[in-house]
Amino acid sequence: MRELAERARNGDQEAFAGLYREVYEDLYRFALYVLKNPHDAQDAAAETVADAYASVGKLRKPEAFRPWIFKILTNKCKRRLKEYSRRDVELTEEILSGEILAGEQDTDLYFQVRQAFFSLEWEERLIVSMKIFGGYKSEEIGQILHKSHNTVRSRLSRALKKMEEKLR
Amino acid sequence: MKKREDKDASMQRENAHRQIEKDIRKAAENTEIPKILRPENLPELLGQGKRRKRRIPTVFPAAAACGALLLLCAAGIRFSSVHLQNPETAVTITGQETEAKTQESQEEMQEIEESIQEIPADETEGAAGDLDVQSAQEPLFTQAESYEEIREMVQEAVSQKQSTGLCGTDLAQEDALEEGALESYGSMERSAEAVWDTNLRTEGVEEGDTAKTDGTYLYNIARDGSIRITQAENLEETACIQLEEPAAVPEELYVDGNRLYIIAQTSQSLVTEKDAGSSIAVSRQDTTQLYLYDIRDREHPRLVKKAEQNGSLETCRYTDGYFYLVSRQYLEGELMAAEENGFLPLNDNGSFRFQDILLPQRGTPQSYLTVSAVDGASGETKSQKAVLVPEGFNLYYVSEQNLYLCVQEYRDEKVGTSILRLNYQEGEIQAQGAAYVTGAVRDSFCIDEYQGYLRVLCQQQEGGAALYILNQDLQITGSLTGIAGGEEVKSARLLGETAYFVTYRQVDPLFCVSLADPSHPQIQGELKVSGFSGYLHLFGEDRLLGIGWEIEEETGITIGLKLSMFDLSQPENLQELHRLVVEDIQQCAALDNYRAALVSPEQGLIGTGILSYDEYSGAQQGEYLLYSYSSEQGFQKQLVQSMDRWAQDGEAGQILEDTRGIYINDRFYLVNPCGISCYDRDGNYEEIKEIRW
Repeated sequence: MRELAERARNGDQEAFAGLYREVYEDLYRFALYVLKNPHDAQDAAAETVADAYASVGKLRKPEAFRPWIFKILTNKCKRRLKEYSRRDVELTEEILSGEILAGEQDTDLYFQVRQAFFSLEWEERLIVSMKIFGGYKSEEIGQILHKSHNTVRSRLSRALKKMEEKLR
Repeated sequence: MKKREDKDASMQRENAHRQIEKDIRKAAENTEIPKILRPENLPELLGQGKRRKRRIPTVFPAAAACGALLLLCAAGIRFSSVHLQNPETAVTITGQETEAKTQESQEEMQEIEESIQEIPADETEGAAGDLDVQSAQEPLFTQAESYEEIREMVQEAVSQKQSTGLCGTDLAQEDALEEGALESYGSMERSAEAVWDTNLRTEGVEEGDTAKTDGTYLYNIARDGSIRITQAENLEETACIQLEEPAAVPEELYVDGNRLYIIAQTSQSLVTEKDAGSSIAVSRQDTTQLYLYDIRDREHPRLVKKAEQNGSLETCRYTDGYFYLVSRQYLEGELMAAEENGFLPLNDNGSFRFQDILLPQRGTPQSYLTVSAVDGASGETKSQKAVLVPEGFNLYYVSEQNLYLCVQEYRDEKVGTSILRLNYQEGEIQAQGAAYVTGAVRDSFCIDEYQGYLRVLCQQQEGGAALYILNQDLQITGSLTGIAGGEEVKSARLLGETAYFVTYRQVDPLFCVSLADPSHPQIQGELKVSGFSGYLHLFGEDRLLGIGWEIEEETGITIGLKLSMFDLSQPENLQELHRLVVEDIQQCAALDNYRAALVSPEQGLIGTGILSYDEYSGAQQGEYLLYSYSSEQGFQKQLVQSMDRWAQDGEAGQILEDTRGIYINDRFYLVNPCGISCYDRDGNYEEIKEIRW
C-alpha cells in the first residue's frame, strides 16, 4: 500500500490505479447515497479521481490515501448539495425513485434500508456516509465539515435512530 | 439503579445503530458502479486516451484529465454555466495592464525596499527562553522578490496538478457613485436606540450576516437566493433584490446608512479555447463578489458597483468604511502557466504585484489566501495582499487594527500555529510580522489583541492548554503552559487583563488567568462544574455567560443544553450563580456559529436556535429559544418558537443555521430564509405578525 502510494506520488498511473481500485466502489456509493442522483454521483466521483490524480504528489502520508480522497469527494458532494438546496429539490427526488431503485431490482431485502436512508436529510446522509463509506471517526467528520464533534455525534445517532424507527 | 438501566439502554441503542450501519453498507453493495469509473478505465477517465491527448496539447498530461472531466460533466450538466472566453482578447488586455503596471511597480519597488523585506518569526529570548515554543529562527513568511520566485514555488507545488483559476473579469461598467450621496453609519440617525442584529467578535469591526437591520428595515437572504428588504414596523416587504448574475450565491449582508452590501460567490466552469480553437482547456473558477446597492429609496434599490476577486469567500470585515475581503484560491496548474502573470491572484486592480505576495518558508503551498481592501463608498479596491499557504486549517481574527491569519501546521508530527499579522488602516494592508506557537488555536475567541499585546490560548497536542503573550514585535514575553493537563480547550474569552477559558474532560473547569503582567500570566481561580461551556460572553460587569452542554459525569451522556452565569467579582473564588439545563437538545446554533447567538447584556437577553429529536415521530424539531436573565430571577423563558411553519420536512436544521433573533426597541423579530415573525417585547412576546416567502 505504502509503496503503491509512493509510486503514485511520483506520477505512476498504474500505481494510482492500484490505490484507486481499493476505493472506487465506495467512492461511487458514497456519492450516490449522499446525492441521490446517479448522474451527479458519477460526475462527482470522476472529478474527484481527476483531482486526486493531479494532486496525489502532495499527499503527505501515503497511508492516508483513503481519507484523503474521500475528503476531496466530500467537498465536491457538499458543494452540489448546497446547490441543490438553493434550487429544485424535487428534481432529485424524481431521479431517486426512478433510476436508482428501478435499476437495482427492488425486491431485495435491503430495499427498505435504502428507502429509510434516502428519507434522511442531506446533511445526515452526508455524515452517515462519511462514517460508513469513508470510514471516518466523528472527530474527523467534524474537522472536515467544520462542526463540533458533539454536533456530529448527535446528528449521527439521530439519523440512525430515525432509520431504526422507520425500519421497525 | 437508574444509571444502570440508562447504561444498558444506551448500549442497546449502540448495538442497534451498529446493525443499521451494517445494513446500509450491505444495501449499497449491489450498487452498479458506472463502467467509466472502473479502474481499468482510468486512462480514459483521466482523459489520457490518445484522442484526447491530441485535442488538448498542453504541457502536462493531467490537463487532459480536466478537459475530459468537465466535458463529461457537461453531458448531464445542470448547474455549472460554461463560459467561452476569447483568449486573444483576454491576453491583450492582460498585456496592456502589465505594461502600464511595470513602471508603477518599479517606483513602488523602491518604496518597498525601505519597508520590510522579511517578516521575522518570533525569537524566544529572555523570559521566553525556556518556553515550550518551537521558535523558528528562520522567517515564517517572506515577501516575494520577483514574479519568477512565485511562479517557481507555485509550479513546484502544482507540478502534477492541472485545471486552474482562470481570471475572467468581465466586470460591467457601473455608474459612478455620486460623492457623499449615500451617507454612512456615523451620520445616519438610527431610528431606535435599542437594536441588536449580529453578535460580533470585535466591537466596532462589523461582520456580515444572513440577516441585518438598521433599526427601521430588516434585510435578509431568502431561501431562493434573493435579498428581501422588509419594513420592520409593519412587516411589509418593500423590495426583493435578485443578483444580476444567476449563478451568484449571496452569503452575507452589510448595511451602512443608505448602502446595502451583498457578499456573494460564484463557482463556474470555464472553457478556454487556445490556438485558434484547435485546443481547449477547462477549469473551475470561484469568485467572491461585493455588490454595493444604493438603498436611499428602499423600494428601488439600485446596483451601483460590483467588486470582485478570485477565490471562494473565507471571511470578511467592514470597518472605518473599508471592507477587508478574504478569499481562497486553490493553486491549479496549467492555465496559470498559460496566462501571462497567471500565477498571481487577481482582483479588480488586475493581477497582484509580486511585492504583494507573501511566501511561506515551510511546507508546500496549496492555496492563495487573498485579502483585498475595498472602499465601501466607491467600491474601489485600494490595496491587496496575498499569502500562499500550505494545506491546513485557517482561522481569522480581526482586531481594531490588525487582521491575524492563523495557519495550523505540523512540524515533526507536532501541531503548531503560524500567525501572520496584516495591519490594516484606512484601506492599506501591510504585512507586519509573524510568529509560531505550539498547539492549535480552537477559534477566534482564543486569540485576542489588547494594548499592543497579542494573547493566544492553544490546545496542546498531548492535551491541556498553553497561553502565550506576544508583544508588538510578536515576540513571546510571557506564557503559561501545562494548564489543565490532558484536557481539551472548549471555549475562551480574553477580556482586557483577564483570560477566561473552559477546558473539559469530565468536569468543566472555568479558569481565570490574570494577564495584567504580560511576562507573568497567572492563574487566579478555577471553578469546576459539571458539563462544559462551548461559548463564553461577558454579560455586564462581573458576569460571564457560558452556553454549552450538561453532561452526566459517570456515563458521559449529554443531558442537554446548559446556560450558566458565572460571577467574576472574586477571581479567586469564581461562582456559578445560575444554571439552566434544557434537556434533550442535540444541536445549538450559537455553538456552531457565534453570529447566530443573541447575547445582549444591555437588555438581559439570550437567544439561540436549537434542534431536538422527537422520540416518537422521529421528526427533527427546530426551535428558537429566547431567555431573559437578571441577577434576581436568573434565567427566565421568554419565547419558544417552533420552526415548523417555515421548515418543510425536516429542513429545520438548515433553516435554524440561518435564523437570527433581532430586536428593535419593543419589538423582537425572528428572521429566517423563509420568513420573518414579529413579537411584542412589552406583551409577553406575543406574536404580532408574520411574513412568509
